[in-house]
Amino acid sequence: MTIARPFQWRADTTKRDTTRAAVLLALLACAGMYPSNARAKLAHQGASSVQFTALGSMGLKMVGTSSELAITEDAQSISLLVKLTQLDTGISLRDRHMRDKYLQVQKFPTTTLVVPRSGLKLPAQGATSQGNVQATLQLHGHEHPVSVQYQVQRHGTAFDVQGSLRLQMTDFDIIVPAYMGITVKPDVDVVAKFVAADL
Amino acid sequence: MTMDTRATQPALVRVGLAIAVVLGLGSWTGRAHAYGWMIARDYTGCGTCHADPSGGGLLTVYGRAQGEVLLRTRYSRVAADEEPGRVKDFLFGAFALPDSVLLGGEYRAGYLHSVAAGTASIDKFLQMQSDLQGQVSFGRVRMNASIGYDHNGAQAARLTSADRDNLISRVHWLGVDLGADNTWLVRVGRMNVPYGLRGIEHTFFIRSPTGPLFGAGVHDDINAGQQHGVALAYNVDGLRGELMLIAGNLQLTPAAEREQGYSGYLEWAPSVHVAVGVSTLITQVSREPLFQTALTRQAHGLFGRFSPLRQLTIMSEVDLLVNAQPRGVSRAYSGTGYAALLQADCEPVQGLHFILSGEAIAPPYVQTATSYGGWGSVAWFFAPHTDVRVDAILQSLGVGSQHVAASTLLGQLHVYL
Repeated sequence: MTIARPFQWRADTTKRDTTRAAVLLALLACAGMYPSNARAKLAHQGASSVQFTALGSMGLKMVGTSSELAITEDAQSISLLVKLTQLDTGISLRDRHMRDKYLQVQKFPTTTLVVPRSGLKLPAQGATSQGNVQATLQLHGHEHPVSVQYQVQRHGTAFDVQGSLRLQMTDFDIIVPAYMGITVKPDVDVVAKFVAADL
Repeated sequence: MTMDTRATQPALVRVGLAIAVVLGLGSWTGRAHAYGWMIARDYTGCGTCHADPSGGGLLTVYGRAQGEVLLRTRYSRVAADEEPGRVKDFLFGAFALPDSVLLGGEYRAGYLHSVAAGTASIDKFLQMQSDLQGQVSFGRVRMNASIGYDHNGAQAARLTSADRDNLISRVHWLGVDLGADNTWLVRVGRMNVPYGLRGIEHTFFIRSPTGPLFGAGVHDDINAGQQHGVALAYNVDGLRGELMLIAGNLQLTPAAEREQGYSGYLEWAPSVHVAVGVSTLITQVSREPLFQTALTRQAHGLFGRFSPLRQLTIMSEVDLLVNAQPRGVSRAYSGTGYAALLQADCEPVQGLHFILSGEAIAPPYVQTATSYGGWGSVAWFFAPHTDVRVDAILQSLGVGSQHVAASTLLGQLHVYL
């Protein structure tokens, strides 16, 4: 299976459809984490997006994006990996603070979402499936369960995928960011949208 | 321009006076900083950077940092993620302030050249703003005030009573932050009128406080358009607003010329690059200073900001204007009109702005033609705390049923402490 539009997935074509589809769903479930990978590789293009949103005092809202997602899989789970070094909030100084002080990317350069295959549902042709799956997020050297909401629409060989999760920085021992009197709230929303095609 | 002219002057003479004001006899005075185009940098709200929850004027510590990080030109790639350092602080970091104290200052000066058809050109140096501003906080309680010198043009904010060269105070208020994240702020004192887009171009038709076109705009400028009253502001992610009960400008005498009423706005930002809002204002005055008649003013409008690209921000405001005089008197200053502004700000390089603005106003008076204006502006925030700006303005001003062409070139230097 290959994911194209906007991701291109270079994969083992001997795998069965269900396995490939499960991998695909995991992608959306990951909602924000991007790969570089092993057996599968995603290339971002088109309308794909992954972003996190954090809120702060006095109505501050910051949105960060990344564009690299990698995926690996085994018999029980699908793992999605994002390079934290690629997160971009649009302000260089803020990015540096995020990477160096809070996420400490020199020590913890990636985050991984591990999604159990048993929790995923795939849609039939022309249908939509959605659900929640309990996954495990590895971030900042810590592991914590997270609830992932996903939705997938299947059009021919294409899957429109969207997934989201909310994480608490404090669950991962990340210092709550504060800068010049503005404090960021510890809960962070992550959303991913992309289209995948079963080739 | 003083506030006590006209009552007995013929209409055309008064129109002439208005044109004169447009051309610089007093209306090009101070401005604070208030930049709605910061939405291009993901900042939809104002309270992160300004002590005033609706924006403008005294900067917070965070706002000072953004002044260095985001506002001004950075001259190397390495500099883009440098800490702002002490240069961001009051007096360029000459000394440290306690966390509970904010201090600031503004100096703005300019040179004006303007011409209107049938009149001599005007060339003059303008002392536009010389203010000191401060805020002291005691827990949730804030005391905020400004004091400054004004040569001519901000008489509505004066503390002394000379014809020229007065001490002025544009704002002074006592506030209490409320809510878990200081979501609410209740204030009493003299404040900027909460309405629509807030910006430094205080002579735009939509704002036109005391001069251009007989003050036909909303009167919400941040030069000297502040009012005394009580206000409640609300700021959360994606939603901000403020409602003010206006007791009148207590620095204006006689008391009969003070407006009472309310003004407010509510802005919703569905994303960090889009914001839309509504505004409303109703005031009543026993003797309107320009028209020398009792008057009820209404303004109700829509405004929006949109940044499709990091380098581009589109802003617009449209207001319905309604004036009503009491029954039994001349209705010359009654009627329905509108004011509109469309502005595009392009920032190809951080700190350098090319701005195009188009505006129109149909004053809510009987028999007054619609006026139009076009601005081409360049602003460059080229050094810490410092910017320069040039505005080229072409206007077709409605004078009775006629139009008078006017052009203005304004250059200015602005430094904040």
